[in-house]
Amino acid sequence: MANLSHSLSINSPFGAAKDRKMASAETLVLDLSNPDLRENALIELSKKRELFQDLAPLLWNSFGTIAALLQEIVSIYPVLSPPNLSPGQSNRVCNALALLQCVASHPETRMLFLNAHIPLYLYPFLNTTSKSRPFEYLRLTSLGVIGALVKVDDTEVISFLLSTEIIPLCLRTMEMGSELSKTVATFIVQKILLDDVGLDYICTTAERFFAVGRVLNNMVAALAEQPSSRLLKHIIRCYLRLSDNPRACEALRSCLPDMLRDATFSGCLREDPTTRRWLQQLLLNVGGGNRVAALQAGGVFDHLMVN
Amino acid sequence: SALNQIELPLEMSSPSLSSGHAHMRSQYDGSRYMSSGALIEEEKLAGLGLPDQISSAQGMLQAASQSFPVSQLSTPIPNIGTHVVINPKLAALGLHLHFQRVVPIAMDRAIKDSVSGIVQRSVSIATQTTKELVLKDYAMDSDESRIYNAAHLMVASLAGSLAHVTCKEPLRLSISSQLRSSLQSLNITSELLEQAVLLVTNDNLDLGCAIIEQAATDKAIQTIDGEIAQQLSLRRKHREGVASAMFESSIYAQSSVGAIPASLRPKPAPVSMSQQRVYEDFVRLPWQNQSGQSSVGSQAATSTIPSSGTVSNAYGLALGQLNQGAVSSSLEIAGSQPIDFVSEELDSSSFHLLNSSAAHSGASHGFSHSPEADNAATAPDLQEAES
Repeated sequence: MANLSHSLSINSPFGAAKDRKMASAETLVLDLSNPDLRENALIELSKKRELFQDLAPLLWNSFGTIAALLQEIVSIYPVLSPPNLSPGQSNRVCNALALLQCVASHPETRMLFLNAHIPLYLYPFLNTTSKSRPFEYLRLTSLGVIGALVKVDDTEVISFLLSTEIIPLCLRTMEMGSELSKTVATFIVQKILLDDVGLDYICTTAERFFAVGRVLNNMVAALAEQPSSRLLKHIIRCYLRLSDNPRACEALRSCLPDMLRDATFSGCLREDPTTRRWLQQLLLNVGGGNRVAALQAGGVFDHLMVN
Repeated sequence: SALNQIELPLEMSSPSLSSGHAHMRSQYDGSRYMSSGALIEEEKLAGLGLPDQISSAQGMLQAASQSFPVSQLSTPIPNIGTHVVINPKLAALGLHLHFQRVVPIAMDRAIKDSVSGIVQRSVSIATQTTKELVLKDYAMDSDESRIYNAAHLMVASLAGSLAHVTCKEPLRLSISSQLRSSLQSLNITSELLEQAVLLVTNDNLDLGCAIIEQAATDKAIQTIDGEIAQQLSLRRKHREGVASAMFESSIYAQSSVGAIPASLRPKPAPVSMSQQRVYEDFVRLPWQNQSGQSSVGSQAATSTIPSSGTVSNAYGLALGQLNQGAVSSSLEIAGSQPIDFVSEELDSSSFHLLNSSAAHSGASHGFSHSPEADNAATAPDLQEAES
């Protein structure tokens, strides 16, 4: 027990509570391997995961813990189709996913997690289409794990995700998910695009580009009805990044939604100078060589600035 | 018999490979727009992390495919006719006899259509996961039979689960389309035809999924030993050549294990019974447990696993029982006769037989139908999604 205090740094201001918390993290991780104690341990650990700073190495290196979390995942495959996932089942597997998200986030465990191909066990969840709350929650939490992977800019992570065809799964959520799921899925696509490998991948064929472009356009149209600044921000960043590719930029000249060129979203962007700047840059890129478009872009920019 | 189950057409001739990939794509391809980039194919093959497994699996499949008896080509899934379900309602429609004839053929074709790509992908993923996790967890255990046992339990469960969840929708589309084309000659209204197709597809989908799951499970068990053998032999050499204290300290140095509390750290000792249980629990996770129909079978299977028995027997027994539970449950629903489908013990001799007598490669079956995910990507319904 002597090395316990070194092993787990707890963000607790109370020194006395520290040891107890560490001991409880350790106990709870052990409990994960016991089917009878697992459900409670999942709840407690996922609730407290922010408190236990080095939970990820603990989860990864302890015997059987990751295997147990994988059992949680595959055990609900049978209720995905036909859709039959209960709220209780959904909560339980989402707690397991939350712990995997820790593992995906932590620099020490991220590549181990990837190398064991664990993200692929989440793909069947992203492939579901039921709009009921348990499924929506399941997709959102699964996207959270992928989001944690792409958060750090690592080409290896991006290459892995591309090779396993994450893009169509993200596009599906961007089409049919809740606002929050859409935002996370768009964030993932944005992070993939920001990597050169990702931009090349998506712009390599017209089909891929238009698949992404079409989904982005649909989301813009939907946002006009139900605005969401955070979603709009990621959409605009995706377009801007696409415009870095000459062929995609050319295509965007004709297919960028008019709503991004006029004042439809000026209210939405009023509080967000960064996104306004991205939009301005996007319109300049897309308008390049085209006087009218460039003027329009300037006009929009002025308009936004006035607001 | 179990042996017959293994003799699914897993040969990797290019037509079946590409149709397999087409399935994978349509499965994951919610957006039909991206469905036919040739580039996706190439990149998949060169996919990060996967090539090792694919090439080794491919080698094995090719080797296995050299000597498939030609007589087997026409009946790769023996006795499927006795397991398919022909709904009594069809008699009322006057289609009973016709379906009795065409359903086994349609099922056979639909399964062959999906099986190779899905099995390959599932096995490749499950093998990699199992290799990494088992070698990690058993880093300090020198009892190799225990390691192989844990690996077999895990890889079978993961590969089977992945194959099942992945094959369901493609297989549904494929069965429906096979049935439709086999019924075209009949003079019935398209409405009636669709009704019958839907009925028969739903009745037989679980059977098809169970067969594909079984194929993945079998293939996974064949593949995993080769994947971990090299690492284990390195460890053996290390143990023999180097003082074990040094070996242990090098393990600690390699990773963050040193920072892990003592109670959670892998110990330089055999894995305990209670720890081992995590891996044994993979047997409890058969797909078919979903409605508790086979709980008896799988519990029996769990209790028969000796914690350090001979690997193939321990696993074979578990698997045989598990699948007995699995398939009988799906057939009970259908109210058919008791069966001896995949219930036989899957022992090492059946693996041997597979290698010497399995599928013939050259003659691809040419079922290149690839259902598009045409019912997927529907227009976003934000009102509903947001509510």
